[in-house]
Amino acid sequence: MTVVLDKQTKVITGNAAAAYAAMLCRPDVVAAYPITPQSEVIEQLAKFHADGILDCEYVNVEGENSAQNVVCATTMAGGRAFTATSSYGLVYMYDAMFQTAGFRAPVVMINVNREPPGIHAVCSGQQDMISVRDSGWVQLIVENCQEILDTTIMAFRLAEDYDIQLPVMVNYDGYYLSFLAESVEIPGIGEVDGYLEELKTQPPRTRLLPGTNLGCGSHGIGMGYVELRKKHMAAMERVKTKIDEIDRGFSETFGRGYGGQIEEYRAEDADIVLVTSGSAVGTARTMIDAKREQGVKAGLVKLRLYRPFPVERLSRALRGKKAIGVLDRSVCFGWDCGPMYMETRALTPEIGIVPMLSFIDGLANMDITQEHIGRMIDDIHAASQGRPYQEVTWLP
Amino acid sequence: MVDKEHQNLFETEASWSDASETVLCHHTGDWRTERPVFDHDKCNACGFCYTYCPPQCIVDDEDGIHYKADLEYCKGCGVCARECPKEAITMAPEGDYADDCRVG
Amino acid sequence: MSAKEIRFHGRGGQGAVLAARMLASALAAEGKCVASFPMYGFERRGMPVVAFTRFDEQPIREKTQIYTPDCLVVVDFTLLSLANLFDGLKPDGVLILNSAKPLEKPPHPNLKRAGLVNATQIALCEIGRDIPNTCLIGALAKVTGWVELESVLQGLGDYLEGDMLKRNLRNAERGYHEVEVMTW
Repeated sequence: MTVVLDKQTKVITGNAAAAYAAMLCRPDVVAAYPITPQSEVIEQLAKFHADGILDCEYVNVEGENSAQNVVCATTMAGGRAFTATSSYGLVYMYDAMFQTAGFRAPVVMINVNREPPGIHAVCSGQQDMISVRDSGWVQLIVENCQEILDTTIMAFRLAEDYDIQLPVMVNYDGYYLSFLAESVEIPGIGEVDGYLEELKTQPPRTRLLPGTNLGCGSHGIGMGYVELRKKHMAAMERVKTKIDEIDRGFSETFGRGYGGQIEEYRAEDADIVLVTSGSAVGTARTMIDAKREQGVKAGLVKLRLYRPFPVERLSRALRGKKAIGVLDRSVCFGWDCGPMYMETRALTPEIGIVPMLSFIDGLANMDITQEHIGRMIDDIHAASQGRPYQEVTWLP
Repeated sequence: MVDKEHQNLFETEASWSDASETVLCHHTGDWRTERPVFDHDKCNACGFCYTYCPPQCIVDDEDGIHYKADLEYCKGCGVCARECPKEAITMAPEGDYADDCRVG
Repeated sequence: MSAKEIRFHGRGGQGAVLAARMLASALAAEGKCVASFPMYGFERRGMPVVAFTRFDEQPIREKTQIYTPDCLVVVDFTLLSLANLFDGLKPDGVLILNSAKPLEKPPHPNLKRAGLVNATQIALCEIGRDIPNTCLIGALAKVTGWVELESVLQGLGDYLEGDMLKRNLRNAERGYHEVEVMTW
């Protein structure tokens, strides 16, 4: 007998919020392998499963590479699948990730941002997510525990949408969000069923079925390969408007919205803007307010969607600004700057040539403090007034 | 704005460290909240405790037959007590604790 | 009441992280907005851990560590020797300390009040193990007045059940009633 959970508000960690969201979406299969700082996600799902709250195949795999293969196969067979990982686990499933994306398998995966191998650190950092940015996955980044829960639910709605059919990775900062306990409104199971009902009205996607002759993963040589690549790219493009629609729909159903691809905080009338993602956004909001009170017309753009890159909306948000700063929690090897900065800089034809500053902070659990954000805004402000500035700054 | 002055923690380009300075001199004995107590009457000197000890801190006892824990390193994990086939090892709490509890 | 920041210092395995979260639950039960998270290096017993809890009437947006605590909770007496334990303590900051003996003098100039309770002994008596965390939350409730004991006890139900819950309820109550306040 399955226990049914009603709507409730509870103080839970970011990891627990992800687990609640996954449970509420009733996956057929959960592939489970632990890694700090994600382990609580799959541990909580194991508890839901043991308590009769989650009815699924809970597969204990021997490593993340298998985990990705399991969830890929599940979705190819028409089921709903979920897994969670981080850093070492993410790179361990590297080949399988390309497979999932190339097969257009609508897997939903949590990636808790942690520094990848090379310098051993069990610490937050976005390099893991950056290292797979061209794998063909949709990548979202969230700011707080409520958003973790809500975005994970939206991730299933997005991944399985007939027009999309792409795997979706929901990223959140290790430690600063994974272990952060906040009050979270957890929808009842019926509410989420109702929200995802719309997927059932769409055409069914092609699936592997025993007894049929259909298979996936055959050779795509020459023009066949090119054609599938183009279709994948086109689907990526469609994610942008789709995610805005889904956000609006979620807001209508649950009363909470996040702006879709990006959120502009006091950015419309701002002279200078800081672009950033993840938990740092929360801290930045406070500093933006403080600087505004001092007379600096600063604004913030929160990057929620990273892949595909929200070219159009970000360009519109940044056009006309006097200087722009981008805060990265990772590095772009080869360009000596932050990766999101580099991609924002590529919007220059759309927004014009304005001073752009790259800030690299928050690597390996280093705290992105209010004081750091204050300094960043000061630097962007100086640049906007024609004073000399440094293009790339590493903090602290 | 100029980056703050940074004092390098590593002399090398990658994360090299010298084990003789870090691991081997780390006296982990003070992590302990309980310690193994060896009963020589029950012990048959099979060496299981020596084999199973994770940080390999079981050493020869002074009598040359039995075993004891090197208390400079023993973290009190209790694996030796668990694995001893003769139940000759028990874990005893470190330090003194008050026997009385205030009632009411 | 403006935002308050509490920093917990303990060693891995003593329940400092859980204490920070239990306090957050208790405050949330009274309608406060809360945020609590730990920071630790190596995950093992005995290693110093720090945990942060913020509460306010408004939603907490900052996701940073706590640099200017209003209150410090020290779960392990031996941590008092840590050089930066008192860093940033606000003037009139308060300390909640697990200690068997009174403090001879305030360990920091900003410290005007400390709540001392022998939480280790109480925990060994009530729980049978040296897990002083719930005792110290009870002490904090009494000394600061920021949260009612009732809310603390109610919040524990989210984390514990059965016999362990009963023992920790007693642990928290004893912390509340037996904490002794020192002022300088």
